Amino acid sequence: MSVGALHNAEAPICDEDLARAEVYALISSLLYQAPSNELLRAITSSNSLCNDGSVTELCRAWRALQQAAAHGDTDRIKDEFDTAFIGTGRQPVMLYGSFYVTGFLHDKPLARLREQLTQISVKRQTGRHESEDHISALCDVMRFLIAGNGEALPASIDAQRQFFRQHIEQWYPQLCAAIDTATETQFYKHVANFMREFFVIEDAAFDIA
Amino acid sequence: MATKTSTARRKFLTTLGVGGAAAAAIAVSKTPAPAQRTPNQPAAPSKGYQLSEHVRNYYRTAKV
Repeated sequence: MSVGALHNAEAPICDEDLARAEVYALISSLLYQAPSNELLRAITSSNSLCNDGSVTELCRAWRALQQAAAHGDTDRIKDEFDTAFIGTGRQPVMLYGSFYVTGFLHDKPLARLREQLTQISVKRQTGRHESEDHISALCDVMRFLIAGNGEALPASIDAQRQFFRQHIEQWYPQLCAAIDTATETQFYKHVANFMREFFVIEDAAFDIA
Repeated sequence: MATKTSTARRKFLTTLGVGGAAAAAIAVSKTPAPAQRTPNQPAAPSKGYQLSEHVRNYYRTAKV
């Protein structure tokens, strides 16, 4: 399948899709590496998501994350990130889909994922060592499908739905639970909660379209 | 994509807090490019889509 066949040549991206792309980008970033001070401040000061006083679960989770970012210290959060997600030996919280789906890293789901990535013409950046089923990598694919980039147009909702359902939907609840219950996490419990609420909405929204 | 379903979907997202009129930049207005950005990574699009400028961290479009 070529990029042209997959991507939807219709109108420019709407506000809602822009917001989705941004949330995927944010989740991808936060779980790829500990946030910079700039990112923490940006999260804290953002008034673009849930700015109408909404009391949905997503908005509650977003405001809690904003609070956590406001009081967050980059060094402490980096320690937390390293301890929870990198660790020495076996990390307390795995961020790879294969682990949750099959119990093993680098298993069949990863092989299938790699085939699909080839089909949609995306490649790992040079120097990225995480395998493609890392949650950050998957969120980065979603962002790319939703927003496109300078070289590719946004993908259809069908293509987005298919990728989400095949590669994220089945294991994100376990990932969020693992982050939430880990004794090593504080700030990242808020990230996990926000991620969960966002994916719940994504899942439901894909049912509509 | 039918406009109708897409409208329903947008409404749903907005109601739950995703999107709406001011959704363009969730977190970052302008931040310096990240250290991890690689030379062959294309510049981030500039049309109000800015957070990803420092989180485009994993994939690039494959040159095929």
